[in-house]
Amino acid sequence: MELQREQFTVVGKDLSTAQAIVRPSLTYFQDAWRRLKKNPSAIAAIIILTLIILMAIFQPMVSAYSFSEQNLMLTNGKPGVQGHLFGTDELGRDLFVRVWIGARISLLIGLVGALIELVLGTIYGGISGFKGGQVDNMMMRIVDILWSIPEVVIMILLIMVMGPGLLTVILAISALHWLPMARIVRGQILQIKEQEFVLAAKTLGASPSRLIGKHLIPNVIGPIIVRLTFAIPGCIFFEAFLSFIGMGVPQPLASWGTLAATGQRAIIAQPHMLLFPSAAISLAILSFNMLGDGLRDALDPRLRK
Amino acid sequence: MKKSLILVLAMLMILSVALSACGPKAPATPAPTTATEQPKEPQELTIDIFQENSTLDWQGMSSTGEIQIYNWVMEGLTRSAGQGKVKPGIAEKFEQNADGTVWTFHLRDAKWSDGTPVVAADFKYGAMRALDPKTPRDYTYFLYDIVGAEEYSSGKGTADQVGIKVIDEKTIEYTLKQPVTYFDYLVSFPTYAPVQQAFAEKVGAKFNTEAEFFLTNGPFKIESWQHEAEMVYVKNPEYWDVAAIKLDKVTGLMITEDSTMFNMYESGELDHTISLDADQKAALTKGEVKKYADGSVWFFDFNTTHPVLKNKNIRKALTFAIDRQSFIDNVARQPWVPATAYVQPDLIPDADGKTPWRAAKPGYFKDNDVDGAKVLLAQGMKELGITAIPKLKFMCNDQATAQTYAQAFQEMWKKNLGVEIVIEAVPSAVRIDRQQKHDYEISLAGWGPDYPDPMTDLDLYVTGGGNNDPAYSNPVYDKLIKDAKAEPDKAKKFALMRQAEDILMEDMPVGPIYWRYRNYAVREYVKGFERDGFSPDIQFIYAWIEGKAK
Amino acid sequence: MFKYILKRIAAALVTIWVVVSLTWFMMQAIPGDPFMNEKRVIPELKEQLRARYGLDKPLVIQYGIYMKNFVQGDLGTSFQRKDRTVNTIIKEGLPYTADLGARAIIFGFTVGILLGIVAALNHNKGWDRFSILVAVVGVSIPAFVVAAVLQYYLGVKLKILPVAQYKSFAHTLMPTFALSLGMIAQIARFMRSQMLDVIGQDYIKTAKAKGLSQLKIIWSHEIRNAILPVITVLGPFVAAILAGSFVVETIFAIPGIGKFYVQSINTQDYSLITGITAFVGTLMVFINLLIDILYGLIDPRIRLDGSSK
Repeated sequence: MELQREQFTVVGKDLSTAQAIVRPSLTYFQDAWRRLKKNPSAIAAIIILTLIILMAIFQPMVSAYSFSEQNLMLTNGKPGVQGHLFGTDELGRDLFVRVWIGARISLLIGLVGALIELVLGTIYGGISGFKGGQVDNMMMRIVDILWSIPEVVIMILLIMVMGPGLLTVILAISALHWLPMARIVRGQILQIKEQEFVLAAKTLGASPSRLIGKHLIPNVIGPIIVRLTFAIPGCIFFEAFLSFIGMGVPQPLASWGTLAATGQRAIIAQPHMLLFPSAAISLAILSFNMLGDGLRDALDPRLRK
Repeated sequence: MKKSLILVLAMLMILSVALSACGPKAPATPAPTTATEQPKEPQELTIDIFQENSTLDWQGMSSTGEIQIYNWVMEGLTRSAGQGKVKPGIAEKFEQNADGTVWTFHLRDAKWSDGTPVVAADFKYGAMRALDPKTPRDYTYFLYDIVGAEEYSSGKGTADQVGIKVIDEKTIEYTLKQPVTYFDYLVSFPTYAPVQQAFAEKVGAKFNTEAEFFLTNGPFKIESWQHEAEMVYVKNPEYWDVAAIKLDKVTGLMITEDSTMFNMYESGELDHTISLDADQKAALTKGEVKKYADGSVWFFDFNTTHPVLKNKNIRKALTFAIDRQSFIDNVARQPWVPATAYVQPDLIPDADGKTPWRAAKPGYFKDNDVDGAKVLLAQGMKELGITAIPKLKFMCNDQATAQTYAQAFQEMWKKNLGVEIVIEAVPSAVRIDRQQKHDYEISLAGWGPDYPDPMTDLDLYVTGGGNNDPAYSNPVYDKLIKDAKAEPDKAKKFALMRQAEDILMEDMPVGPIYWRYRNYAVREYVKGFERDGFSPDIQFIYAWIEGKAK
Repeated sequence: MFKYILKRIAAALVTIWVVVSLTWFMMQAIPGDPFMNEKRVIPELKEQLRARYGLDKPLVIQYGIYMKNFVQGDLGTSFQRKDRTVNTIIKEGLPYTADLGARAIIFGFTVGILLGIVAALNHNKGWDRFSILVAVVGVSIPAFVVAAVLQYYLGVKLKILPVAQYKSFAHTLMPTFALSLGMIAQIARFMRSQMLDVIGQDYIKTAKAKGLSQLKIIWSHEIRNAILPVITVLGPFVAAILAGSFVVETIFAIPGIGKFYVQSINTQDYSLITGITAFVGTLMVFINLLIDILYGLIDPRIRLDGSSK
């Protein structure tokens, strides 16, 4: 069918509506949250992690058994025996409460380790990226040099030097772990520094602190959060590894790693001693990874739909 | 041909029975091996030798793992016959003089694995090697009973002042500082090993470092040695008693991980296990479980220079307040025996050489005597003028089991006495080192017997003794030990030692907890396989394979 | 390009120096004396032993001697294995670790890539879910748990594979698998997302429009472009495999460097720990260097204008 000119009317241009913003104006985080909510595995991860954290905090407080209370009459008990949901360990201690105490320690290691990475990495990368030029070159050269060193051996050496202990383990794990964070932060800052809106802000007379606070950090924060979320399970994983070698947290503190390492030796008769801590580790690490994936997708402005 | 073989073997059999009755100090030996026809199935055994050893230089050896290898491939003047007894080895007979200070050994015709004869000079060369002041070794002091030995090795004397004399090719004489009733046992130790001078000089520093640098004279020789992995031993055709050896080949694997060892046993890759914990024992599907006394006593080692632990009532309180039986049954789950005395019940004989030393006085206190402990604790605190015991440091090995035990004790002391301890888990070598330096408060320590005489357990605790970790010092005790060592009359000697143990248990610088026994598994087709509390531990020399299904 | 390689080599050398020095200094800071085994050593003997190992000289001189020896390839003598040098121990263990590591890397890389490709091509269908399952397991279960479970169930209960040691092809199966699982999981995940990215690109649509066969598209475009970034993450994986080898070699009784390392920690054999750490550190630096150079050769951006990230 042919279109006739008479069928159309000129509507005209309305400047006010042309500039109207049709989509609701969301802040960065509101947008990210909205997108995250739509991701089923990320939501599942958040739920699981919340549950784990709540259990870790509250279960030992309400538990009928303390984590160090021994019962020599009931050593190596199977799950379900006499009210011990997960069974008992080699000294008759309730495994259920020990798994949640272990959660406290492991999560603590993960969180504090990740935080140390955050602080070190952000400061280092931030300075490097912000200053740029020779300073940046120098600092990145140092990172390059440290990058190739296998983390594991340095971790072990540090623990041997500092002697066993919770703090030692945390410090050792984060010793070289902050390098990726530094690189990420620096990369982001370099990228953003040259963007026009920064130039604009500078021209308008913004002070460096304002620049950093209002412009740089909010734009860097996305990758930082993602990296943090991945750093936590990394720390937990390393902690399990160190426990197997015998360099984990000292007794009677129990972490998931030391519980699993003890359980591994008892695998033939008390598989439950290996099963429950391992399952806890897996669940936590998995959830953090799912969450990290989800956050990465949610926080990437380019993927905004 | 077969008839004459049987005749020769029968003669050897008679001869060995005769010889075992001859030597004046040789104790009863196990029945001589009856070698009839060689068994038809492949005589090959696979064992777990746990780990690579520090050194296989005979004069440098010190650990049980090393000593057992010595026992398999070498033979000294005498050879271990198990249970702390010895039988003639390269020396077919030996005698001592009236006061027991001069021992003369007569060598039989024996050969090294390359066919050259073993001569008396080899024994002297080996001993002098151990005493060489330029190369200090761990067990050199084993030779210090010999006149001039200690002086020479510490640089104060000369080589020709050492009391070892080569009379002729087949006779060697040792002169001792004082009578040592168990000298025949001492010479079975690697420190006394013969070394052929020509060979040693040829290989120099490589001595005993690789399979091709070994010259051995024992039942087996080393065919190959893959470091950190395995050692293969094969029957030594030049061994003087080769007819008694039935196994052709023994493969020794170095498996350190306990669960791996068990899994390999169950899958048929190993013919025995070194140990067996309660769970493994329950899960065992093949072979049989055996038990043996490993001879060691495990105890609380108290540093008597510590301001609180210097009080003996405190020490006794801590020792009494432990429920040993419950600990053994529920935590350790091993076939151990609660120890309420120090010297081990099975392996140490009394003066008559037959009755166990422990029979006359089985224990000095009651197990799990919590009430008694509380009284002693109060008394001790009063004597010290304190109202509470400060937190004490408890040192133990960093193995998972040791830490578990430490935690059990921690809980018992807290519950029974209100005493708190802080656990320090350190590697075994560090623990021993710190004990020697007296850098500890309480330690979980053990001691195994070197020879079948109570002195092996008692002479540690003389003032200033190298192994006197608690820094215990009691002049009465010192005198008893000194007198006992010099006393030629056996009844009197043992009476003095009995008094010494009484004092030790009264003062309790060490608080005994348990005597260790071990379970292990061995396949049903392995016969004649033994374990021993005295070195060497694993004994397969006279073992054979029978009934192994293809 | 040449300048790029030179810069990488220079950085590598500095790193090696840092690693070795750091290791050596930290070893000195550790309390304790490494001379004991089961029985005791008389104090006078100890002094002589210390002198024999050169431990009585001032620290700076000891450092100098160590570095000099290191440069000449001599890593010292083991304290615990008195007759053997660190070099010998490493030399004997290296073939096992290298063999196991190579198998794990090749297996891990190949299976990971394949799994990733298949998952991407079957997005949201059967294979995709399977690869997610593998990724889940590989990423979240510690290597020693996997190794212990495999050894017990496949080796003892089902008896289909030998329990330990490294003597035949069958012996290599469980250790390789246990070691590579983490790598498979991560590479599969990464490859999958890379592929999905690439598949969505315009030039793929163009190729399809042009009428290229599905297979050709997959090979010439999708895989080749997706694989490049995956190579960049190889470096950390080699480090992870190395760490994993400590655990796997111990459980499967494989006489490799990983097992020696763990043992030397338990026996506090300083000399061996220092030697192995220095060696392993150096090795890792070289491997990373090679990967960097490899990446430089592949990535056209670097090839052409010689700049590095």
